[in-house]
Amino acid sequence: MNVTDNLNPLLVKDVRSRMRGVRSFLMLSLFLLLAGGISYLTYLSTASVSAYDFALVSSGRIGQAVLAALLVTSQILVLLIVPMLTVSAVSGEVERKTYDMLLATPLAPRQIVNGKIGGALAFVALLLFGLLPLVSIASFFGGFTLADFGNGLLVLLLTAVCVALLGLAASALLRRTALAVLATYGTILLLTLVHMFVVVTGASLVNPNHAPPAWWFIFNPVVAQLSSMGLIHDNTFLLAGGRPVWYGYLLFALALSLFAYIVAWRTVRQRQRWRFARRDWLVVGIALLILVIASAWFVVSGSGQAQVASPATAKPTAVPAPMYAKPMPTRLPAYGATAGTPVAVTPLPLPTLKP
Amino acid sequence: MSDMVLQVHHLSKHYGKIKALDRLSLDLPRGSVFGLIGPNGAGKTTALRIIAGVLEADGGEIVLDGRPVNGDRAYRAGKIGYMPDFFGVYPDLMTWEYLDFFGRTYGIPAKQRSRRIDDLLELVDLAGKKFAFVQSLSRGMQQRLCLARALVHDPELLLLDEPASGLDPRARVAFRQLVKKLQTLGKTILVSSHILLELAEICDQVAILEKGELRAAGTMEAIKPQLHAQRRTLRVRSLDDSTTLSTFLERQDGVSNIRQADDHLEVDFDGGEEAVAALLRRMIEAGFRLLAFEEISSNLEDLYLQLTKGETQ
Repeated sequence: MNVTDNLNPLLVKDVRSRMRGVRSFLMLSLFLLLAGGISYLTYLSTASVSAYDFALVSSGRIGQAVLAALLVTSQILVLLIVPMLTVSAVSGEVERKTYDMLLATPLAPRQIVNGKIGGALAFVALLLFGLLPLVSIASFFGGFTLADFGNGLLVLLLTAVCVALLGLAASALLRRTALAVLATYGTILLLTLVHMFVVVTGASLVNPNHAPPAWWFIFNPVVAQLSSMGLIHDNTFLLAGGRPVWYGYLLFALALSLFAYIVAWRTVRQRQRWRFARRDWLVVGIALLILVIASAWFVVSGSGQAQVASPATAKPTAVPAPMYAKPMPTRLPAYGATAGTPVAVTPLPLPTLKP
Repeated sequence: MSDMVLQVHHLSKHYGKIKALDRLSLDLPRGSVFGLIGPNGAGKTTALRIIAGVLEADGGEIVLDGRPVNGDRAYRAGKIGYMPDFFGVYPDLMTWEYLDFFGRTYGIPAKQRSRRIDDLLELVDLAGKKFAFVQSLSRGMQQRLCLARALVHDPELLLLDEPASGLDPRARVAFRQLVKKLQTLGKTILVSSHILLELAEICDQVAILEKGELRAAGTMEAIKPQLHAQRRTLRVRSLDDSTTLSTFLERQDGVSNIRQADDHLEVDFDGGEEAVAALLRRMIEAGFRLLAFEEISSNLEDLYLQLTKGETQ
C-alpha cells in the first residue's frame, strides 16, 4: 500500500502541480525576501536608534523588533498571497472545463473542500517553514520566548486558514475567478484598511475624547498580529478581563472560517441552486452555540480581572504580559555579570528640551 | 444481472422557462453502442450530464443495472465513465499523473492503479507519452487521454458527449475504431453527436432528440416505420431523353422534387410501396425504356433531417 494512498487525491494533485514551474518558487522567494528585508531594515533602524540615544544596543530589544517585523510582514503577505491559492480552486476548474470530470468522480463535497484547502495550506506551511531560519536569526538577539513566537504564529496560521477558506468559498459560490478575486480581496480590504478608517473616523464622530471600544478591533488581522506581539498593549486594545485584542480575533477568525467552510462545502458540488437545508441550519446552530459558549467563557473567566484594564486599579493578572511590556535592560549587562544576576540599570539622563 | 445496463424513465429538466428535456426515456442493452443525435440545443448534453450525475434532473428516474441511482453518487460514479463534450486538462500534470489522480478518486490501490494506467495508455496508443505533460499533447491525443480517464475505474457504461468534435478526419477514424474496440471489450457506450454519419457507422441503435423530446429510438430499421412522412428518394435511369422523362414524372402524384444526376434522375416521392409500384407501372405503360428504378436507401442523415426541423430552443 502506497503511503500517499490515504491522502486526499486533490491534495496530492495540487501539491504535484503547484510545485512545478517557477511561480511557486518565485512566490516563496518574494515572501522570504520581503519578510527578511523588512526585518533587516527593522534591525538597522532599531540599532541606529539605540546608538542615537547614546545607549548601548539592547540585544533583546532588537530581537523583539525583528520578530515583530517578521510576523507582521508575514501577516500582511499572507493576506495578499494565500487567497491567490484558493480563489480559482473551483472557478478555475469550471473555466478550465475540468469541473464536470471532477463531479463525475465519487468524491464527496467535503473531500473536495478538504483537498483544495489542504493543497493551499500545504504551500502556506512551506512559506511559514521558510520563515524559521529568519526567526532563528531573531532568536540570537533574545528578548522573546517561544510562547511569544507561538502567539504570533497562531494568529498567522488562523489568518491563513481563514483567508484561504474565504477564497475557496467565493470560488465555489461565484464560479468565476474574477468575481471570486473581487469578493475575497474586497473582504480583506474591508477587514483591514476600511475597518481602520471606519473605526478611527467612527470613534472620533461618536466621542472625540474617548478611544473606541476594544472589541471594535477584533475584526482586523493586522491589529491582531500587532496585539499578539505586544506592540499595542494599552487599554484601548484590552478586552474584558484585560485580554488582548488578538484573543477576540481568534474567535472571530474561527467563526468566519467555519462560515466560509460551510458555504464552500454546500456549493462546491452544486448541481442545482443552493437551498438552505436542515443540516445547514444544524451546522450553523452548532457553530453559533460554540461561539456563544466561547464568548461567555471569555467574558465570565475574565470578569474577575476586569479592573486590570483600568490603570488606576491595576492588579496582577494571569494573562501573560506582552513581550514589549516585559522589562528590558536598556544597556547590556556589565562584563562579567553572570546569568540570572540582577543587573543594576541606571538610565542615561535624557537631555531636557528648551522651548 | 439485468439485460439493460441503463434505463432512463421520464427524465425532465428545465432551465427557467426553457424545457431542456421533456420526459426522456431510454433503454440501453448491455454491450450496445447507442447513438444520441439531434441538433444543437436538443438536450443531448443535458441528458448525458444528468445520467453522469453532474447535473440534477427536475424529475424522472435513472436505473443502472436494475438499481435506481438518483441519490447514490458513489455507485453511479463506479458504474459510469463520462467524457464531456468540452473538457480541459490539468496543464502542470504529466499524462500518467493525470490518470493517477482520477484513479485515486476512485480509491484504486497504488499497485493496481499503476498497472491500469499502463494498460490504458497502451489501449489509447499513448504509451510513448506517459511522461509527457498533458498540455503538450495534440487535441486528438488529449481526446484519447480523456477517454482513458473515463475508463480508469473500468466502468460498465461509457458516456461520450460529442467525442469526435474538433478532431481531424484521421483522428476521427481512429476514435471510431477505438469505440468499436471498447464494444468488443464488453463496454456499453452511449455516444452523442451531430456528425451523423459517424454514428451510422458505429451505432447499433440510435435515439433522435429535438427540443428535449425523443422523436424516435431503436435500430435504424426500426426507426424507418416511425417516420411520419414516408418520403423516399428514387433513382430512375432510362434510355429516353431525360427532359421528357422529367416532364412525365412531374405530372405524377406524390412526386415532389426531381434532380438530374450524372446519368439518372433522383426523384423525391411521398408514398408507400404500393404507390411506388404503381408509378413504375405507369412509366412502363407510357413507353419509357427503363434501365434502373430503385429506392436510394435512407441513411441516418436522411432520417435525422426528416425527423427534425433543426430548431433549437
